Amino acid sequence: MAVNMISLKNVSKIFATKYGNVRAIHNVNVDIVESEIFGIIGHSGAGKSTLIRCINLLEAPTSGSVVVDGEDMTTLSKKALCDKRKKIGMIFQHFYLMPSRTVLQNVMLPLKGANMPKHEKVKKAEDLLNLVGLSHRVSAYPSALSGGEKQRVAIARALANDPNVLLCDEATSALDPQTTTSILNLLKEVNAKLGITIVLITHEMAVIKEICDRVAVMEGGEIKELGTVFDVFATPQSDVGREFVASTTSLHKVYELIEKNSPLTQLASDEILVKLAFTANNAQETLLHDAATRFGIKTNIFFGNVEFIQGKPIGNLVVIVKGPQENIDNALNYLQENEVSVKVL
Amino acid sequence: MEFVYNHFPNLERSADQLLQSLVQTLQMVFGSGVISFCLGIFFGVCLVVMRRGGILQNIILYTVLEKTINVIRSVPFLILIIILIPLTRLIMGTTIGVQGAIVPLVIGTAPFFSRQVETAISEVDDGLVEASVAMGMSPLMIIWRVYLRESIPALARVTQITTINLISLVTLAGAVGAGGLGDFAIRFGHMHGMRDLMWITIAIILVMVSIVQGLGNIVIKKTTR
Repeated sequence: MAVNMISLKNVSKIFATKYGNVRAIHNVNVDIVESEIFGIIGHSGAGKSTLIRCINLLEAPTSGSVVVDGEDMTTLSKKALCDKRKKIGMIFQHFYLMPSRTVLQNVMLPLKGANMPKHEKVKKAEDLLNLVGLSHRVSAYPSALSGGEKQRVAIARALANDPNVLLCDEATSALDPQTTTSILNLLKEVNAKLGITIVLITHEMAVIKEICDRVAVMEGGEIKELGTVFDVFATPQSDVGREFVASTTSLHKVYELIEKNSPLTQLASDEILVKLAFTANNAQETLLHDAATRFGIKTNIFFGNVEFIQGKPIGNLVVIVKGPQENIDNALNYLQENEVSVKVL
Repeated sequence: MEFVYNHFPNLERSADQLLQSLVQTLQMVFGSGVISFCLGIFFGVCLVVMRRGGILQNIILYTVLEKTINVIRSVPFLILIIILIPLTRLIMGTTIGVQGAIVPLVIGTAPFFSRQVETAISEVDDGLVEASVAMGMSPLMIIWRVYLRESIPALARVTQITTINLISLVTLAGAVGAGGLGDFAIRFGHMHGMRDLMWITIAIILVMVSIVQGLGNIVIKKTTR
């Protein structure tokens, strides 16, 4: 039985500025389940950063409730809020390690004041640095570390108080693609080993695709759609969702070619251009070939792309279909009957 | 020694007074320096944490503090000494000598130093503070473990500047009855026309400034990462 670790109910945040009130987030409702990796994607200014800050109350929501692990954050006393925040780790785009402290001291920082003998704190910090693969850099200062190493230290620091939740604020946006992958793998590993709930915000669909279980797509301070990463990739419901999904393939280039009347997309009178979308259920079958042989049409694959999301394939083909109109219609009907989504371009 | 007395003929007679003046100057620099340092750190931190968006935002207190500092800072030190006479007498029981100088020296130095501390502490990245809040640190812990700890090199730098400034104020206070090297230089070097004693005073002050400079540089070098 899935338990909600984080529950946002009707959360809104309004910033008062010189130029009037700005509505950063509006009426957001999300339940994030224990031990899942939940992604929030949106363009800059969509409110995702404000939303993740509402979870540990770095930003106090203007209205609504934020329940983390059964406690409503908005009703806690200052002291209780500090204690609660120890159980919610957070990492940032720019790492924010303390420059005057060594790697080890940085990881021990959240343990200051904890009721624990010094040698246990050292042991704990060393174990965490071991977990993030940095046990050889304990006495280095942050200025001597690479971006990826800094983020690893930040992850170790965020885990120091054994939190139930890890918030990642654009944690990979300042890193190169290779380092991004290694940090995402580390987050996945931490999630699997410790069962910690991870909430991450990003503007890169590749990050969502790589590690998230579910994703919320934000725009204008609202959640436009929410679902498993596979569903959102296979059948995005919102315009912004479709746009993000398209951003991970070259599919949009095909549309550009069509718009520009490129010679590549010039069709003969008996040809049409069709986009076919396959999902897990039918991607392994020989549907296109079957349709061609059964209904006497010719197909020419103009563009093809297959993604594996959460281990399941999603395929997109843009195909030039050639043949008598009746045969083409029959073939397309056949494909639709087999749950291929067909769109004539 | 022969060489010294040949070139500084008046030194032998006045050595006792010179030593006494040096002790007075050091007392004034240390006494008012330590008090100003504590006040400056306190008010400098207040300015940073109470301003808009600070971790203990308090616009009213911030505005009062800020305006007060600006007003005091704009009063020339010599005038400050004079208008503070009643307050000095109230606190110290006298307005002359080392004791009488401490109050105006502190009031002349602490506001300047507060501003310097404010600037030094403001160099701490807001992100570090946000990360510390997210870690569950209380405002007091953040002041101690982040704001002050992370700005040690910058604080050393502004302490250096302020101390050198203070040495110059202490000398100035000598002109109005505080004693010390300033008083010595005016009385012997100027009024009695003993130029050699004037040069010696300058040399001593130069050494003091160099020591402050050197100590500050060591701290900065050791704490900069």
